[in-house]
Amino acid sequence: MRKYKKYLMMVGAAAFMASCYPGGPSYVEDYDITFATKAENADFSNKSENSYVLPDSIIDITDPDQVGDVPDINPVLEAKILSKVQANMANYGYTEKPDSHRDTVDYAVFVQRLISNNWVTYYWGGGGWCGWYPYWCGGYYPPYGSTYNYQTGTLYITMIDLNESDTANNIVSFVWDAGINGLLSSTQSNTESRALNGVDKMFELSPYLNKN
Amino acid sequence: MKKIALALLVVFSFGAQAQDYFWALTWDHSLPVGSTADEINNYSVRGIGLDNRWVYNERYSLGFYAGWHTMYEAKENITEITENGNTSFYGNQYRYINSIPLAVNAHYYFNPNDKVSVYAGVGLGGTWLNYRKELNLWAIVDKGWRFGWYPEVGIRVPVNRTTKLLAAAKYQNATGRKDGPAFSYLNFNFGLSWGMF
Repeated sequence: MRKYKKYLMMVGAAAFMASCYPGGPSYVEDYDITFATKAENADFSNKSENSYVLPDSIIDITDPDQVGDVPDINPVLEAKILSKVQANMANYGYTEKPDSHRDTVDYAVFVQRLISNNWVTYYWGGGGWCGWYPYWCGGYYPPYGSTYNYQTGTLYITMIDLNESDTANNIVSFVWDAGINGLLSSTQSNTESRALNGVDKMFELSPYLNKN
Repeated sequence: MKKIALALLVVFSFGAQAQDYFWALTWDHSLPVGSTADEINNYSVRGIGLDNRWVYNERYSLGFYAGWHTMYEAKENITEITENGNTSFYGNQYRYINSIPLAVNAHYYFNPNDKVSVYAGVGLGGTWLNYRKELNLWAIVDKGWRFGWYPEVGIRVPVNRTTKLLAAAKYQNATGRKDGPAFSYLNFNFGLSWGMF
């Protein structure tokens, strides 16, 4: 019996260990990750190149073979996010121009929501962008600088240097990507504050954008 | 691993000629030190150890040790920049170390017949270590076998003829490997030993 007692103690100790395995995130916002990436060849040093255009909506990007089941973004939240992007751009010394200047500005900034889990085949489908920027249509768009898999609902901002792009031949120069992973698939009541704080953080992580 | 197995075989063979032996089961606590503490800085009580020693001339022993040590820390609002400096991440990180040291060991007993017996020794072997840094649903993982070693000091206090209380401290080291840093932590072992020594 004494022999068995030892084994019982060992098993008990192992069970104790298993029950004590450390935890992880407790709340959905604990998963929030904000990221920002500058393209390898990006150069923001010319302070006079500071004009940009920003489409007035957040567009969904999807893989046509893997369409997500994500509800439409709340239009109030959409407006607040776009406004937050504009405020941060202005804070860094950029000047927004209306759509009619799209061929003469220095940068184009796009705010998007990814509704596919596989970034490799993100597809810029028809709809808003094609009317806006014909060179997007049917495009093939791997994000810069990383090989991570962005989740459905990722709020994603892209900046394109139009001076370095050849839009006539559909060649665009991505210079900055930033986002919050998975946020916009959430139905949490605090999604708005997380999104707006996240946009601030994207710019805070990217001081090289500053034109002041 | 073949070398470790061979070493264990030698120890077992030698043990067959030994006069005394004992087993020990310990509750192992861990405190990361050095660069490991930069990754995880929490004291951990999640650990278990198993020791088996064959004793010669009441002064020396050879044996083996196996342990399982888990360390964890949640780091909130961390900004991390990739090596090329172009990408930054901000958010909470959840960091885990699971370390399983397997070692052959040798000990010297300074005063085996006293009420409180003090010993010192070393262990050499392999450590399977899994370091996992989770960000959102991403994880950076560094896992695999490393060369492991530790110096150790400890005491044993008799409870009855075959059972003793045991307390020990080890300085666990798992060496670096390709694309992976070295890990080290202090290991405090509390438990019981059973046997004829």
